[in-house]
Parts: sequence; structure tokens; C-alpha cells
Amino acid sequence: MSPRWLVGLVLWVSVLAIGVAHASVLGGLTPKTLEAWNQSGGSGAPTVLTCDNFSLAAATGSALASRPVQLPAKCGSGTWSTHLGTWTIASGLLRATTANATASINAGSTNVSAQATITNANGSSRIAGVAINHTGATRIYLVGALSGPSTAQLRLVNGGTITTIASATVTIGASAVVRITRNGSTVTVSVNGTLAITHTLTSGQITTLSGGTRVGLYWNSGTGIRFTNIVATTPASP
Amino acid sequence: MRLPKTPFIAVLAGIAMAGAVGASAATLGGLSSTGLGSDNSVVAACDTDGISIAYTTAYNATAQEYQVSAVNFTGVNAACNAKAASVSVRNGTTNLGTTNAASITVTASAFSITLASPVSAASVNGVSLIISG
Repeated sequence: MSPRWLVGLVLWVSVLAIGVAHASVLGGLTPKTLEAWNQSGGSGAPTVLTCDNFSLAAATGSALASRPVQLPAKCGSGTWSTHLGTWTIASGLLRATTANATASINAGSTNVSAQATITNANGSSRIAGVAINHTGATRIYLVGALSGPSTAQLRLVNGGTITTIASATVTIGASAVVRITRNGSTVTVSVNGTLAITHTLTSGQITTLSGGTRVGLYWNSGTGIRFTNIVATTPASP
Repeated sequence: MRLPKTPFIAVLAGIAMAGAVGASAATLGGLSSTGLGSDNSVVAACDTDGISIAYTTAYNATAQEYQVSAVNFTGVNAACNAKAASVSVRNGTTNLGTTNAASITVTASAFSITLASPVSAASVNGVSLIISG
């Protein structure tokens, strides 16, 4: 091949190379990640059995007795019963009179968690709590109670007999959420999401409590104490 | 000027091709020269052995329901760290809400995404997650 022919060929290849160079700048793409997952299944949140936040006025006056829960779509069709004392609603809060007063609503289960917000229990001689396994008129039940200024208690009430089964020191603020849970023979009490008491029911205690499927509120002392936001669910911890 | 024949033909061919390129651009009205190319790239998974999913739930007294406020992922490979993620909580085929995270931090093989808006826990029966980047 003559040198001139070679020069011509080089020129021609150079022109081609210019065009090819555009494609070469895309070389070496960075590897990327793309990954997708799908998972079926519930959220794991406990099932709400009944609830009431007392945000709506009572159907008749301010009395709690015979009042239906205010949000049936989420809280069911239960109706409140009072078993001792006078329970009244004012501004979304519930108050009671008479020592060892209880108001309850049927949750339909002995294995249950119930919690409520209790205000102004952070002082001496102030006792109030949340009841489960309530039998209704015979007033047999368990209570997870705040005993101000700094104690949580597990009480077993059998009519007029009150037994403090267990207690623990806790921090009680102006507002505190108390939860009591029974799951089989195990009962727990928590305050503001922190486990305070764990108790295993004796066979005698289980027998005493048999048949109680109501949940409710318990007031013993402390005129400034108020209740709101009760909810009962399938057993949940703590 | 007299040019040798064979090299001259080769040069003309090269000029003709260059001219063809120029003519193509000219019909679009002065676009700057550009290129078109393709390449292959690896799209790899950052976690190949599965991820476990759980939820953060809490009772909302105002709504009187349990709500899902976050989705928690465990068993996550460290290679997914700093990637973008998108999580959608679902009820069947209905999307209850999608939250995007520009960059996730995988710590101790786990990360969480707080939902932009909590959703009713009772409605949630599935979740979808995409990690990309």
C-alpha cells in the first residue's frame, strides 16, 4: 500500500472515529440497586373490644349510667352500667363519688387489656384505677390502681372485700395512663407504658373471678380525680 | 490541483460521511452535536435473603383506634445503607399511604420509616417496600 493511499485511509478512519466517540462516552454505567418486597399480614395491633373518650355529651344529662359508647363503629355497641357511686361526665372527663365506685361496660372476654387516662392522682389519699373481669352487679373484679403519690397496686375486689395483691413504686404525673392486662393466669399492671406489676393468679383467685367479662373504671378516693380515654383490647403488653 | 485517485476517493468518502452527520443535525435547526449510545449495567439487590417487617402502633384516643405510625425493617443487609426507600401500607390493593425516604440508615441490620401520616391499624393488611439507588 502506497503512503498516499495510507494517508487517505487514515483520514477516513478518523472521521469514523469521531462518530464512534460519542457512543464511547456512555461506557461504564454505575451499577444500581432496585429491590422490592411485598408482605401480607395485619399490623399486630391489639383488637379494640370497646372504648370511650367521653368527648360527646351523654344522651340524657351528664349521667354515665345506661349511656352507649360514643363511637359504635370503632368501639362497639356497648352500654355503660354503674355499680356503686354516682358517675358523671363534664367536658370529656368522668368523675365519681362514693368509695370503691365502679362503672363498667361489657368487653366479652376475661383475657383482656384495659387502659384509661387518670388525672390528678399524683397526691396522697388519691386512689383510682381500671377494672377488668368485672362481674357486674356482684362487683367482683381486678383493679390496676394508682395510689398517689407514687404507688401502683393490683387489687382484687370481691363485693365489699378489697385485697391488695401486689404493689410497686411508680412515677405518677398529673396525667397517667394505667393499663391492666389478664392473659390466662398472668396479670400485669403498667403505668405510662412501663410495666409495674406482674402477678400470677392463684387457682382460688381464678375461681373467684370466673365469668367476669366487663371492663371499667374504679374510684376510691381523691375528689379531684378524673377519667378519660378508656379502651379495652385483646391482651397486649406491657 | 491533481490528487492521486485512490487516496482522493477515500478522503471523499470520509468527507461524505461527515457531511451526512452534519446534514442530519441541520434539519433539526442547529442542535448541538450529540451522541447516542447504549451500555449494559448491573441492577443488583442490596439484600438477597429477605427482610422482616413489623409495625409501630399506638392508641390514638381522639380517633379512638390503634394507628400504625412507623414500619420497622430487620434483617437488612448493610449494603442497603444510604439507599432511597419507599414504603406503602396497604389494605388489599388499596394504598393507605406511601412514605418516601431519600436515604435510609441501616443500623444493626435494621431501619425504620416513620409514616408521613399514621393509618388505622385495623385497616393494614400488607406493606410494600422498594429500595433503590
